[in-house]
Amino acid sequence: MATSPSVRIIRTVKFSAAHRYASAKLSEEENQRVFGACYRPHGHGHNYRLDVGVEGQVDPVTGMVMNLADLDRVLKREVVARFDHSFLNYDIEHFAETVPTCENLALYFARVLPPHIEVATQGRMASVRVWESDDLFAEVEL
Amino acid sequence: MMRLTRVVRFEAAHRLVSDQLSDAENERIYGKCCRPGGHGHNYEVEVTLTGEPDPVSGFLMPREEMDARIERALVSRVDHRNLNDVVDEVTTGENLAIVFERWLTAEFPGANDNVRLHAVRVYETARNQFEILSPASQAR
Repeated sequence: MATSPSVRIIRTVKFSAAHRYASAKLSEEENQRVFGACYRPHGHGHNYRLDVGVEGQVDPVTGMVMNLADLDRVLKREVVARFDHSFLNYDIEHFAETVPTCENLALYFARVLPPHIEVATQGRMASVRVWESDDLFAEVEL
Repeated sequence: MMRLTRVVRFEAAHRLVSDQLSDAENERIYGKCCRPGGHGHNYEVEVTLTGEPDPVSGFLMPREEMDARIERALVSRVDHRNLNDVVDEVTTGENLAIVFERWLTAEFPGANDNVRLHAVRVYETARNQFEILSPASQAR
């Protein structure tokens, strides 16, 4: 029997967080020049949106790629519980030294989420898109 | 490799009409889009860049730089203008996507840059979107 194509489910979660752009590898003047208003000492914040794509075969009995409750549980535990109402630079260890740009958030989720999602859903994490505002997003295809 | 997308908006007038068609044919093919005075849209364009973020700044491209290039290549040429004055082709969403991709490629050529243009998506209305993958991006 021919295998049917895999289908990608994209689930969205939201979190609100503060961040600040500053690099220890740059001087005060360089930080100011490169990051501008994003370098201000007390940070600022966004309502982030994260779209996670998970692929798999549609189960012929249930008609589903996965049980969405399994995916939601992982996203709630690994994303919302950790990131919502946090200050990314201080509360997420990875961003103590990595600048929490939209790009680096996408790369981070692309690296840390797949094993959790694959264990919980049996699906393959295929894409991640991080929206910082309604006019900017970064994405990674896995 | 990752992608970063900036969404920009502009307002412009246009009229769908081809100088290679008769009045009757233009009327038949383009219908109300061909009415002589033209009409307008609130356009939205998604500009997708691809590359590697700078290891220090974490930016694929600093936002001011990116916005300045998009403004120069696209928005300044079309915002509050009649598209028929600035584009030689019939100003369908399809042709606008092709033309905007060409204009934007000139600002994001990718040669000595760590970023290059990946795709352009033009929304004429919420219901009509036109997408083109950059040939330069496809070739690699």
